[in-house]
Amino acid sequence: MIVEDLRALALIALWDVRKLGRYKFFLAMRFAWFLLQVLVFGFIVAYMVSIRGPYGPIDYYKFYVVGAYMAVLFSMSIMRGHEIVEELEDGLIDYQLSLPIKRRILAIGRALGGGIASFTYSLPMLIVLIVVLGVSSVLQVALLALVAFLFASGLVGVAMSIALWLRSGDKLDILMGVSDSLLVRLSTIFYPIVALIPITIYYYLAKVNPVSHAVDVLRITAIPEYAQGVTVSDPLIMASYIAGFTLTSILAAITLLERRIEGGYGR
Amino acid sequence: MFGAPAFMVAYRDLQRFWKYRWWLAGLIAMNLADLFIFAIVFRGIVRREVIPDYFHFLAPGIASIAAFAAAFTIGREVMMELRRGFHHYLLSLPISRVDLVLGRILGGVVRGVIYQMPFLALLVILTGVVGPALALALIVTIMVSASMSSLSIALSTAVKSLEMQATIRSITYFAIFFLSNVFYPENVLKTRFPEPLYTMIVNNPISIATSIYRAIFTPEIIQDTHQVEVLLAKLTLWAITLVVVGAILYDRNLKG
Repeated sequence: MIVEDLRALALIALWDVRKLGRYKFFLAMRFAWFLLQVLVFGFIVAYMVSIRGPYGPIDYYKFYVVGAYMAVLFSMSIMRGHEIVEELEDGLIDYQLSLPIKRRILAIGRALGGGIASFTYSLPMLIVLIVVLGVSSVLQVALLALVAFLFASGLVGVAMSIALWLRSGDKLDILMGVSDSLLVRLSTIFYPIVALIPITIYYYLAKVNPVSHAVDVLRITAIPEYAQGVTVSDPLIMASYIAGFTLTSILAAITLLERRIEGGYGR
Repeated sequence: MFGAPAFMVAYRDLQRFWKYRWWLAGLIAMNLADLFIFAIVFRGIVRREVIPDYFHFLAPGIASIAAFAAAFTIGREVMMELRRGFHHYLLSLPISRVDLVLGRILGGVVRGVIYQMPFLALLVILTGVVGPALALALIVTIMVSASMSSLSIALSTAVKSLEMQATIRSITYFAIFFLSNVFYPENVLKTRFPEPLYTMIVNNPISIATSIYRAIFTPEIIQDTHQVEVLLAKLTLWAITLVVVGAILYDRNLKG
């Protein structure tokens, strides 16, 4: 039974990953956006900005490259929500529900498959990050990949949950558009947490924002010399936060897929 | 009456603009978040000798971006219409080809102007600038919207593949967005880029419009050496060139 479930899980996850070829133009756009962020925006803004951490000045360019990667990973993962709504419209989810696969396995498979797909799509950007930051240790690279994959799976779980909850492309568009703008800017993607201290509300929102924890875990892994003392929390706490976020969001997606999937699609 | 059908076509494009209310909500959220979160936080970390007040520095740039993004949407529709053959219906209407082509460009202009109005109002509230300068701001908005509407139409008719068109449009959008003076002052651009690239950046329509808005609303933040008259002349040249190119390319595709 467990072997069958695992096989089904792998099939569902692979189904998401195999759609890679369909998105080559989308990937080209995202890659262009990332390169412009890294080669133009980050390059110029690093000259304008001056931030000091507890251990000295921070190299803003290196700090920003990690943030730009996280912004791309975030938008690619959240995009899966739109895909789920399209699948609901097209009846593809109904088809998947008719397969001899447990709903729980289906939900986990879609979240993990979406996470693997989003992570795979972001690989060219991750390679740029590794090259630009000069990350040479295999352990560091493996940790970066693991955190990126875990967080992408969590985000896909959130996107799936919201899509299944709303079941409306229009409502999803506005929610995703607004949350994309707010979650990215109210996090430590563009600025370290110390820069947010003067604006109390932004500071506390960034502190609890999972995006801040994920990007700071990546920073402490890739550029520990600049990230020390300016992360939202202790590395172990941040890693636990990401693991908890991923687990919770996948559980939410499972619950919604089991309880709210019937009733069809509503605009 | 000559030109009246063009306004009808533009009116139709405006009506269709509200169909994207969800997308618009996301765009408004992004523009406001850039101003009220990103710019406010950045004000605390940008060196004062480079930009004394980043919030007031960025605000005119956000107004430019707002007009640009809204006017640019017309190209996507033109692209979809050509793909679906909907332009045959448009051609069957009792209006001249010139009216149709100009109407589409005007549609983008109207979108840019209307979408940008609240951001201009916000600039007025933030800076207290009123009077004849606002008329100049409106002229700039019309010209930058005309430039971007025409550019977007031109790009949407340049290649046949839908995916390729979407990619080219997006890359152009990002390039204009980041390779402008919206987020960074020109003296910094000059130190970071070679002269030819710097010249290209400061002479793109969004940079020119942003410089004029800054001269109108926040002249005390950054003292650029450009004269408003010169900037206005450059923007006019851009608008005329892009409108002509956009119209010719759209007309060519309508025939094909």
